Amino acid sequence: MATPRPSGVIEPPARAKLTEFAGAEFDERTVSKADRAVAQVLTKYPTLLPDEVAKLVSAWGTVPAALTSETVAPVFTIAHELAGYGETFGFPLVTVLARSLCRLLNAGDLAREQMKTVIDAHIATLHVIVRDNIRGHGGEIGINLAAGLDKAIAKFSLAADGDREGRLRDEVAALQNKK
Amino acid sequence: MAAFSLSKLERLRVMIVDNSPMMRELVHGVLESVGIRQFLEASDGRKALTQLPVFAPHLAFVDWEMEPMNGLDFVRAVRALPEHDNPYLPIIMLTSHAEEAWVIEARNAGIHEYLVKPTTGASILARLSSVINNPRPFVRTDDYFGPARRTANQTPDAASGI
Repeated sequence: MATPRPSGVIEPPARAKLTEFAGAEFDERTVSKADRAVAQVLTKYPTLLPDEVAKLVSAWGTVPAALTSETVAPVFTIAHELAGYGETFGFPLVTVLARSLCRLLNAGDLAREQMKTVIDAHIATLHVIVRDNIRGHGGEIGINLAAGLDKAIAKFSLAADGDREGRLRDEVAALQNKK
Repeated sequence: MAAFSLSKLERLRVMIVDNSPMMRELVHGVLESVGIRQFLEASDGRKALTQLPVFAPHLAFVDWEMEPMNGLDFVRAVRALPEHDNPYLPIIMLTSHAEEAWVIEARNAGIHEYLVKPTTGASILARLSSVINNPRPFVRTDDYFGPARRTANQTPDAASGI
């Protein structure tokens, strides 16, 4: 049997504290270089976002009528990836809406009949944003798309715990205020 | 004190664990742009764990959603390692999970930093700088082993607050 380790505060060894690298600072020039490295990587994946949306549509198409956390798991996984990719590729609307989809799939009541309709609406909207190349916050179109989904979520009282009414619209509006 | 030379970072060994080849390449690209040269990439926690004793990383960037072993289980496995296998490994969790409950779960597993995707060069470098320049003591209690958790008023912001 392993000996129990004592409780308390422990000072990690110098190697784990990265002592030899202490003082590393990244000035504006270095950060710009790093951002250019990101941009360069993104150019290598021009179809990643549409491909992920196509995967999402296809995965959703194979989910049986009775939704459970197990049957929607593949859809959640792709939506989660999309949330990460969206803004990275210049599509913050995709990030906002994919996160909303993840919340519905993860914390929503999947047994509710209307859930399918609202998930459908999210996936259709994500598809439109990428197909129509709606980059950035999307202006008035972005607000309208978000407000439409908010309305559907509110109409069927499908918001996950902790969600507030009009959340998506607010999040898209916040994008517009972001520099 | 002499200015820090980024060339020192050539000696830093970084593990990047993410199921997305694009995300691995992106993190790699950012770190390479500041002079880091030693990388090991893995597509899930299990593969990363098998490489830990061989590569002996100084720090790890770890995604959450991966199969078969996810990032959270990887963090827990690292923190359970014996002393000589470096259970203190600094871990930066890089994930699309933005809700507070997820951040808290990751913090309770023993991560150092939490970075919500989408990712920029600036955000990756900010977390790297934080891990390097603000080393934290570790705490062991009956149900936790990991870096000392910041209190609410020490938390930098909601998205990254650990």
